[in-house]
Formats: sequence, structure tokens, C-alpha cells
Amino acid sequence: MLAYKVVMVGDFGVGKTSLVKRFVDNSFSEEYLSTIGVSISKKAINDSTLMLWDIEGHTEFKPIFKQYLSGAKGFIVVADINRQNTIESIQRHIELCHSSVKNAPICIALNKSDIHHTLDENDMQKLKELSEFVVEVYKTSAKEGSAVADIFNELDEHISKSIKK
Amino acid sequence: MQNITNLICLKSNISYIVFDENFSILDFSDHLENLVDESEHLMFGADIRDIMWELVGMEERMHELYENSTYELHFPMILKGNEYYDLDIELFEDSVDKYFIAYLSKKTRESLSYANTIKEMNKKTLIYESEHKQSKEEHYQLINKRVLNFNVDMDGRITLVNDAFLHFFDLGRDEILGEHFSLFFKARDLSIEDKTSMIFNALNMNSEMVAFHANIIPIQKDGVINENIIVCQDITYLREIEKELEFASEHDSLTGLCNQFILFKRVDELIKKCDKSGDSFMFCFIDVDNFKAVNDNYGHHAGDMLLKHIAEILSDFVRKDDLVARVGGDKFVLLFDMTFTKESKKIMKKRIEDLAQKSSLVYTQDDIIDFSFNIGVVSYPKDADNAADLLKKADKAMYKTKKK
Repeated sequence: MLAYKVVMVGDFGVGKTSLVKRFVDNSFSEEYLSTIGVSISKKAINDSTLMLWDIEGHTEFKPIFKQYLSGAKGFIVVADINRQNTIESIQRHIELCHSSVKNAPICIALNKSDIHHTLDENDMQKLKELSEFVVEVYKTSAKEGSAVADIFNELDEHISKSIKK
Repeated sequence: MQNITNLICLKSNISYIVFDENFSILDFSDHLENLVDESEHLMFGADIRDIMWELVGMEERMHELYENSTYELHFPMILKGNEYYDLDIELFEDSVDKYFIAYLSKKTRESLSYANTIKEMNKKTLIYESEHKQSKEEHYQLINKRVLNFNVDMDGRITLVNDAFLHFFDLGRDEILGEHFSLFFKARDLSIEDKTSMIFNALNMNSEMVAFHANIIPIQKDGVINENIIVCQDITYLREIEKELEFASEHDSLTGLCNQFILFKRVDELIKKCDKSGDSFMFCFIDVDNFKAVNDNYGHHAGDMLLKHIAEILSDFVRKDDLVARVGGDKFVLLFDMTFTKESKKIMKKRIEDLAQKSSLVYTQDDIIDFSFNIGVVSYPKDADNAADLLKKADKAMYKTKKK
């Protein structure tokens, strides 16, 4: 079975841990507990085993520790669909991922989509065009579980194909 | 020797695993089973990546380390259970072979306290951001509540609406999107092409007609207009102002009675009515006798109060379908929508004269102002066939009475 590393990247408080918890344990908590350092989870999907690195989010006074990104086969860049500043950070996060692992595929999760928002298809298309290595952009909700499995499956499909080549 | 190493590790909160370039475990410290990911795989010869998920994907880096191109790998603050550890991987070389040693060192209380401070700060920042956003949204909503926004495509079908729109019509988004905007708004001409603003009317959820000024903002894509944003602002207050101005143009500002314009309009209506039915109506001109003396003796305020007082008693005197108008300084007209005989005209005139005598104005406790009327009565169609002539004739009749 193919085992590889995927890193969740994004600003603090966007729901990286919640997405991992929903995907791995199918659970969700309303309580916000900021991730410090990194927590690694394992999840088997299709013919792959994903090692999910849920890392500390970027804050104004503490950047993401680049070493955590090393050796990843793909990234999920997460933003809060209702916090414009976290969406604006996506570009910077993509650059950081690619400075660590060149040309790695990236899926973008616009999380907390269960809350009323104004982001439309045009905005999503613009995000997809940020890099040729952005595989797909999803509106996700860790709370309701919508599109959570889809985003991991999409990334797995992409990585599996490229590894098998 | 092995026991001493383990003792030192335990005292320093350090655990280690030795493995080779093929990731095969060669040695490990005691108590490691509590720190690794799947402890059942912890055994000599097993693949370290099965128990330390941190090493999955690190093959290339490990090779670099093996070739001495890098010195060590460092992953700080890895959460294992409820504890944080730093993972350091170094190359160890003896005279025979090369090995990797992975150290897991438990974080000190000081660094955990720092981590907790960061956690708290993040939490507070998130709460602050959320509250700030909420307050901004509430502020926006307060403004937005009064302004209806919607987008229409080039066929006039609604593609987007704001909450104020939903609230105004008390409808859900699904009931609005895709519908033509004329279903909700009425206007003389509903074509929005080449227009920058329009006036719309719409019935709100309480079936009240509300007037809107609509700004039309075209949205272009690739140089071609493909949608319009319509921003509607409630201008019902302008209608209120319009009504006030209309009232002011038709009424006397001191007494609130109809002015000559409305009197003549009403006379024209009555003439039309009487011409059809063969009925008549009575036009009664009233002049306040010696009104100038009131102004001279008591002042202009008393004069104004007297005119208001007379307006009130005359309004109370007539029936609902009759009309009282002020046509000049101290001159009033009563218009009676009923047929009169010569006899009944006399009785009516007498009643109006008596009205003045019974209704003195109590201006102050000491100043009681008496007044009387000079009255001229004419009727349609006997005395004149239009409003202006009726007024002239009634005025003349009043003067005749005054001279007597």
C-alpha cells in the first residue's frame, strides 16, 4: 500500500484540525483549540495510506515552520470562507509549499462554508488560477462534513497517479 | 551499560531509536512504546516508518543525511498523546558502519507554558476577529436594511438579491431568483436599458405602497454589459413632502380651511352635478364685521386667534359634505350642497348670524372679543352660472347687508 505525507497549511483558526478530525474520526467539536507544533494522523483511503500533518497555523507573529512541509507529496491549503484575510493568504501559502516541495499538487479548502458567505464560482476560479498545481478548490464544512472526503480523495487520486507513473 | 543509558534517557526525558539506511530498527530505549504510533510494530528489524509516521516521505532527506550533505533533521513540538516532543535525527558513524539515531525529547514545562500562551493568544485573536466582523456586519445590516439591492440579467430576470429585499417582500430567495423584476416593482416604463435611475413602486408585506428611487449600475464583462445592479432607496418620505406641499397649496396656512382654489374646484364639481340633477346649491359669503378694530384694540395675534376661532365654529356648523373656505383676510365662504327655498335661505342666514353672537372669543380672562358677521347669500343656478360670478354676487349681496 502506498504511504505518503500530506500537510495541511493555512492561517490559524481556519479549521485545519477540524477537517482532519472529520476525515479521520468523523467527529467535530465547536470548541476552538489552537494547534501548536504538529499532530500526525494516519488514514487509509483507496489504495493509499495518508500521513496527515496538521500543523500550527500561520499567525502574524509566528510563521509556519518550513521543516514540517519537507517530504510532502501534496498539500491542502485551508482558508476560512468568511475571513477574507485568510483567503488572501492562500497565495503566500502556495508559494511556501512550493518552496519546500517543487510542483507538489495542492487542493484548496474554503472551510466553514456552512456559515452564510458571499464567495461565488468566479472567486473560486480565480483561486484555482493562482497556480497551475492547484488541482481543485472546494467549499468544505468540517461541521457538516460536506466535501471533506472529496478533497482528500481528489488529492489522493492525483498523487497516486503521479507516483504510479 | 545499557541500563545506565536507559537511566540517563529516562532522567533527561529522552527516548531514542537506532536504525539503518533501510529504515530497519536496530535498537531503542525503554518505555518507547508509549511514544510511538503503533507500538505493536516496535521490534528489532521492523521498519521505523511503521512506528514513527514522521519518517514517511523523508526517504530523500534521510539519504542526503546519510551522504552527509545535511547534518541533522529537526521537527519541533510533535504532539504525542498529551505531550509535546522534539524529534531530532542524526547520523552516527563508527569504524564499521553508519546508523541513524532518532531522539525524542519531551518538552520542558517552560516551553509548554509558551505554547499555551500562543494557544490563548490565537483563541483571543479569533474571538476578537469574529466579534469585530459581527459588529461590522450588524452596522452594514442596519444600513442595508433600508436599501434593496438586486441584480438582473439582460432579460430583467433577478440573479441576486440582498436580505433587505427578502425582508421587504417577506419572501425566500428561491421564490425570487429567476423571476422578472416587474413581478415585484411597478413603474411607468419598466425598460432599464440606457437608464441610470428610475422610480419604482412596490407593495410591501403589509400591502403598503412604497416608492423607490432606483440606481441602475451596469456590470461589464469583457467590455460588454451582461448584468445590472439595481439599488433601490425608499423615497416614501418625498411623497409625504409632496403631499404636505399639495396641502399647503390648497389650504389656508392660518386656519387650515380650504383656499379659493379648492372652493372654485368644488363649485365647478357642484355645478356639473346640479346641471345633471336639476338641483341647486347655496353660496354664502361671510365678512367679519369691524375686524380691523380687533387688530387695532387687541393686536394682530388676537386678530389671528379670532380668525382661527371663526374657522372652527363655521367648520362645526356645516355638514360633512358642505365646505368652508377662507377667501381673504376676514372673508369666508360656506358652500351648502343642498337645494334651498327663499325661506330656508333666510333661516340659514339667521342661524349663521346667531352663531357669531353666541360664540365670543375668550382671548384672555379679561378680554372677551365679541364679533358679528355680514352675510351675502346667492345660489346656483339662480344668481350666477360659474364660481367667480357666484363669489362676486355673494360679495355684493354681503355689502348690501352691511350698508343696511
